[in-house]
Amino acid sequence: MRASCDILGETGLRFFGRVSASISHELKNVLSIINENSGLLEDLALMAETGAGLDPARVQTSTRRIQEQVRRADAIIRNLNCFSHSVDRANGVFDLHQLVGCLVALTRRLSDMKGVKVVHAPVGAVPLTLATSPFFLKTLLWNLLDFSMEMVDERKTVLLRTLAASGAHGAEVRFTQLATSSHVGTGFPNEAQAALIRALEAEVTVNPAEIVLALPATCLDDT
Amino acid sequence: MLPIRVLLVDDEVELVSTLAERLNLRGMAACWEADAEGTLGREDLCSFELAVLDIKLPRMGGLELKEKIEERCPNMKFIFFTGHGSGVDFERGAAVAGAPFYLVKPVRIDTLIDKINMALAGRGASQ
Repeated sequence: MRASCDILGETGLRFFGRVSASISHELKNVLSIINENSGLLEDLALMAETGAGLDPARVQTSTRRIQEQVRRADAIIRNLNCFSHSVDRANGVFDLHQLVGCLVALTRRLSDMKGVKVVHAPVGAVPLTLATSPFFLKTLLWNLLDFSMEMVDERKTVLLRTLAASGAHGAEVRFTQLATSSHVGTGFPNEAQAALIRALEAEVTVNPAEIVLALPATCLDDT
Repeated sequence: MLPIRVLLVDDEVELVSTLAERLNLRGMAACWEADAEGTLGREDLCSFELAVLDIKLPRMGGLELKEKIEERCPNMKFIFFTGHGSGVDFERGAAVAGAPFYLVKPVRIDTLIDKINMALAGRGASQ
């Protein structure tokens, strides 16, 4: 059996690569929209020079689209920055609600490609501060989300709820609105997912229509 | 001479609609769709001479969509474009369409028009 650190390293790298590829694709799309709309403005200017009328509404539409894409790129890069810094230290202090929100935004294109909508619903107090490995947690959450997206019911939506828990568990992430059929849970966890669960001292329960990730109370940051 | 009929398919609506508008300004008859379902649902699908398909579309990708279109419209020509510049994507796209017809975003409109003309060169002779 391979060492846990090898499995975690491979799984983390694969996740990092997948997210980076998705982001590069999205940024290429942003650049393409800016490219086409600036090109259209140039076309309109050239036509105006030859005496054709210039429609102010068309100019405004293209400038608005360019501004929207600049905001979109800024949000993508902000999330990418948050993701990149999650490997700065083995353990960090962070808000679980914010971490999950960032993950959902980062992987939006991947869920769109599957035709699945992912909705994040923080429950209870904000922030829900944890002290653990943010990168391992994001990697496990992505694995669970990817798995959940194969299990969606006819609503084609995964509702992700983040909340404080009681007893031995400090916090939970619930992947809900999944199908209740008998194949739910088949093939989970694989070797890599099991290593991540162990590394985080977490528990994963696969129920009909729901997967629950429970993080230990020792993760709660009470400083 | 009738304008060249081109169908653009990309899930980035603000990209594909503007690109269609710019091709129309250049004398083409360009229409657009945002996904495979909308494309395959078009009654006038086979009236297009060429389709420009994004490789990465939601639910059904561009390569699979090309096969579905070809079943109905065997004379249609194809160009692929993508935001991914990965070697694997290039190999798959270039194997299907030919390397010159696999473009990486952002695409210069003059380059796209050259590729459209190249793909359709001699279209009258073979029909």
